[in-house]
Amino acid sequence: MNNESPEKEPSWSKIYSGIALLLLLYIVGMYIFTEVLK
Amino acid sequence: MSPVISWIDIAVLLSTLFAIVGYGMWKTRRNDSLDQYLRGGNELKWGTIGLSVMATQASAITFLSTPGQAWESGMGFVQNYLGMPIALIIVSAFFIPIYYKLKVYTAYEFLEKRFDLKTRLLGALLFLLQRGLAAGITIYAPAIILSSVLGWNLSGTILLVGILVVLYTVSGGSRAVSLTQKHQMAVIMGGMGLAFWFLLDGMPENVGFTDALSLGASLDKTNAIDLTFNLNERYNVWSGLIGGLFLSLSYFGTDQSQVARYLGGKNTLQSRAGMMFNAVLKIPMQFFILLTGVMVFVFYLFTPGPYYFKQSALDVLPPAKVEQLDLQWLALQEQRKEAALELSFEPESAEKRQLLQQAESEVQAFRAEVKQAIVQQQPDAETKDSDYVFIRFVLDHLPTGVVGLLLAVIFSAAMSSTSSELNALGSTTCVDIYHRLFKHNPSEEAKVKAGKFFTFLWGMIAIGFALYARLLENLIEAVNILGSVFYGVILGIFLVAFFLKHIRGSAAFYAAIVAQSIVLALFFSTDIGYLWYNLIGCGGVIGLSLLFYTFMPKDTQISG
Repeated sequence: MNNESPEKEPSWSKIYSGIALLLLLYIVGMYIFTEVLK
Repeated sequence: MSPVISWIDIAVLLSTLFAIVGYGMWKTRRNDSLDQYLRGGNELKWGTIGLSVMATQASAITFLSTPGQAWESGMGFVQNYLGMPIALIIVSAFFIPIYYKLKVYTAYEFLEKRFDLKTRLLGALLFLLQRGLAAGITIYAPAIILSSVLGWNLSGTILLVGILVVLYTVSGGSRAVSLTQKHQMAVIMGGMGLAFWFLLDGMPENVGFTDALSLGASLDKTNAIDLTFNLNERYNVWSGLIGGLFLSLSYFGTDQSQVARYLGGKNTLQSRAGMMFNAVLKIPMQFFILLTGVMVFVFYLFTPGPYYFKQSALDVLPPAKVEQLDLQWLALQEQRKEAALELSFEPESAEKRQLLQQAESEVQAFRAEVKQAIVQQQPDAETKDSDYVFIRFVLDHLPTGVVGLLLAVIFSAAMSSTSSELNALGSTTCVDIYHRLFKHNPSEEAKVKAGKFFTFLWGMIAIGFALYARLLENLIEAVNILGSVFYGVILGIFLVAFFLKHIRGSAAFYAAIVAQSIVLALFFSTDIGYLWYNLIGCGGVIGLSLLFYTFMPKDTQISG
């Protein structure tokens, strides 16, 4: 008997949107880092 | 400042390297099928894939040059990685599902399934040419720096790295590469974290982390983001997002040394998660390495250090000149230290800030004078010394034992990227050339043997190239640029394959040939920044494919 259940795929579109948002946060964060320290 | 490291450091270095290599070889001692050898039997989970992808990209030069780059010109280099998360999303969404569905061993196998044999061979040959030359340099570049600062024999250093990598990459295949990379990344991150801690610990008592940042900022070292759009600027947000996107898409989507990393996954879910791991962590990691470089810069504002970090290059100067430079440096260094200390006590003072900037510009003028003196004595001397800054700091200022660990970081990084390259070169030669053209139905045992043989052969070529690279200094830069000259065209072929479903093999193939000829003509006749070749090559293949599709007779487009 095979007890292994197939892995459930997460919502990739949500993950990709999250990563894109994170990239934006990285850019804003590093921009603030650059400007505040200037 | 002794160039000799203690036996404890050598013991730490060798035991770390041998433990990782031994573990990798032991865990992967059985390889019964080509699937197991080239794809690791599809057992890898996302954490291993993520670290393996990261370790493949991070070569020894990443850890030697990147801190030096921040030390010299600030943190702007981080912008080069801004396009990477978007590229990883595209690879995860479009490339991975198709590679898995078609059960390919290499990315170029997909090109035959989608187009025809000649397009597959073109993709494979462009990859072999570019990556085959680069593999030797991945070993040579750190070896030349390490042998120079440690006083080790260059050939011995190349052989140490080369033979260890060939041993486990040939014996254990793709799974050995991924498993060792997981541990190599642990050593790398642990070592870099320790170096950062010792840097902060080595600052004067009144200089904390934020004070150090503020001092670095006063000398323009914390300039991570530049929003101005300027084609002549090397690093800004726009070149990073656009140029970085194309470069990363080509690297992660079509370069077999990366494709093999995620094709070893248990399923698409694990491979995609491994890619997202990199999309999240790569920018912070590069930011941290660059920040380490800024801290090295601030550290040397307070601590006596060399005025020229590639110290062996000073040997060409007459002793009297060196003595005169030493005296000048003592005064300049003291003046800059005083100015830095005063600013650290009064961080808001514009006057103190200006004093430090003035002292630093005098140091820069002095360094330019030193470089000029070297060139006068030896006109073809390479005067860039920023690659030597971080390793010099490690050797001169870290405690015994930690020096060995940091050397293990650099060797591990060299080995992790070389192993992926050799594994990919071996797989591509075996699957796309040898089996496809000469041996159609060999037994599993014969397939594994052929895989091992070609990996070994590429290992020997890489070591041989590294051993003779010192005679070919100019070739090294050419090889680095050569990557960008071919990358755009390869990416173009894959983008046509994925997104322009109506276009057939011959249109794509001839478009690639013409686009590559245009890129090569531009390369030899103009001064365009080499990152733009990625765009030109890629755009050229897409545009010409559409053109050829429209005008070529339809029957010639189908046959290969």
